[in-house]
Amino acid sequence: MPRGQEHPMLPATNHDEYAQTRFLLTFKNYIQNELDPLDKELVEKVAKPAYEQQTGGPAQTSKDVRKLMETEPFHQFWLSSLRHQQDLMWDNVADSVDRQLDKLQEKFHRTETPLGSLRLDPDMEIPSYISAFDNHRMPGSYYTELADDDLRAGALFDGAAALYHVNRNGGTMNDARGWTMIDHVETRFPDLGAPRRILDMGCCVGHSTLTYCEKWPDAEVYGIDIGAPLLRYAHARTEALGKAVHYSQQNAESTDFDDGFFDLIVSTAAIHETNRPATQRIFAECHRLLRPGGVMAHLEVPVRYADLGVWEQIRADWESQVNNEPYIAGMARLDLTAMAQKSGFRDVAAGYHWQVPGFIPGKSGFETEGGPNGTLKIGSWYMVSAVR
Amino acid sequence: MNDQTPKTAPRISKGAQPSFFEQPATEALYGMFVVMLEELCVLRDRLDTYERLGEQGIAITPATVEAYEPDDSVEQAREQLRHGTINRAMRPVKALQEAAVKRAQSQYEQTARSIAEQEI
Repeated sequence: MPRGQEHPMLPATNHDEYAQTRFLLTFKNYIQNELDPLDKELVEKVAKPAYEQQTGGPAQTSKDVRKLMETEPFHQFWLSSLRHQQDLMWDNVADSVDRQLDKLQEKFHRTETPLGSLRLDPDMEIPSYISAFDNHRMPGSYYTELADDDLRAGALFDGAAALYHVNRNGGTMNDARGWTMIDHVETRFPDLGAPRRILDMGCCVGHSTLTYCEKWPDAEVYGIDIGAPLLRYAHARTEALGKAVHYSQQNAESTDFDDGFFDLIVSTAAIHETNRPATQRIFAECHRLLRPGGVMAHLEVPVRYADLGVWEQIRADWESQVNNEPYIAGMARLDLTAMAQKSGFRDVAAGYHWQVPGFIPGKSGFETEGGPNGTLKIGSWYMVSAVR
Repeated sequence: MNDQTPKTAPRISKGAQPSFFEQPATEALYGMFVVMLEELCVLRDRLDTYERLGEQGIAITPATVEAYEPDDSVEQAREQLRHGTINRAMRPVKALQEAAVKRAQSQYEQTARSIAEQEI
């Protein structure tokens, strides 16, 4: 990642660590640009015809062709390439973080007169949908603590984030999803005005959270997450960047804020790490926490199985089956609109919002259709938003 | 923090590890291969830094290597080299796909031919 753009908390990369990130960037792009189309061709020219010959009807889902594809050596290498680039990324960043962890911890301890606040709950129970797997193969996940005041998981996450998004989520600030959220809220809810109190659920290290501070400088911004090491890092990062956020360690399904406390509640790529009952409870909690007329908006990965072709479903399956995001596939089939309505929301809409700042020329705004011919709508994010 | 707190950081994600090939050893070998490919590309970048420093008449030391910041044209040149290395390394894998598609195509043509010649 561009070495001169690190923010004050970001783990530094030395010459060879930077070269590692450049390799993984090239390798990830190689998989997407050169191996994906070959894997898709395998589906179209080998798996689908074989399925049709065996059953007499066309293959329509990834399930139809999965067994056959998994016997194809090229597909095996494709699956394995995605897996190994992921594991190598975490391994590289862990080495980098560990050699400078003392310095990072020191930065956390130096925030003596904070602009924001940090409230942790040592008795917090990590929900099973987080503790069962290490989400996206990050060893130790969001909550493993190895020492007092540990913030290693936050540093690991932030150190890898730009690479994870192949530099497309706003470089080393990783805030494009936040700006996309803002664009969406302004597009769909122009009458909301400047929110006075904003809650970012599953805020992680504050990547998106800080965009709300920047957009609405008079607002009180709150961020919650279940991982203490993430929140310590988030707090230190936010303070280092001169912003004020009130972080607390809470589960979005049930928080300790008062009824009607917030004007705007958001989340970016957090819902897909819960499960279906939790999602419904989170929507219900959003309803409780919002004042009448307040807005809820959740941003997610742009994956909806109903909109995807067979190969694209296989690609999405990898996230659930290999990348330890078990709920992604389930969530991508749920009627989130109905779930929001069930929790009492009105003016609910679900669709794709083009990223801000975007990287697909000529594309902006909110649309309900999926990508052409069942392709992934890369460059957009799936949104569900509503009014309390 | 309690007695159950791990003292060292986990280095692989928890739970069962995936294996996509017939032999688990193949999965491990391919993982090792990707690491070695990365090591090679990192070394190549470092060599390139040495050459660029040499071009500028700067002595190659750990400090000067760390201080060197490639500009866009250097990044682009390195990217091309890296892409070439990866592409050559993956050629045998791409060949597997080509063979599978050819096989399916010739099976289809064979079936089409035998249908065309069937006695009605």
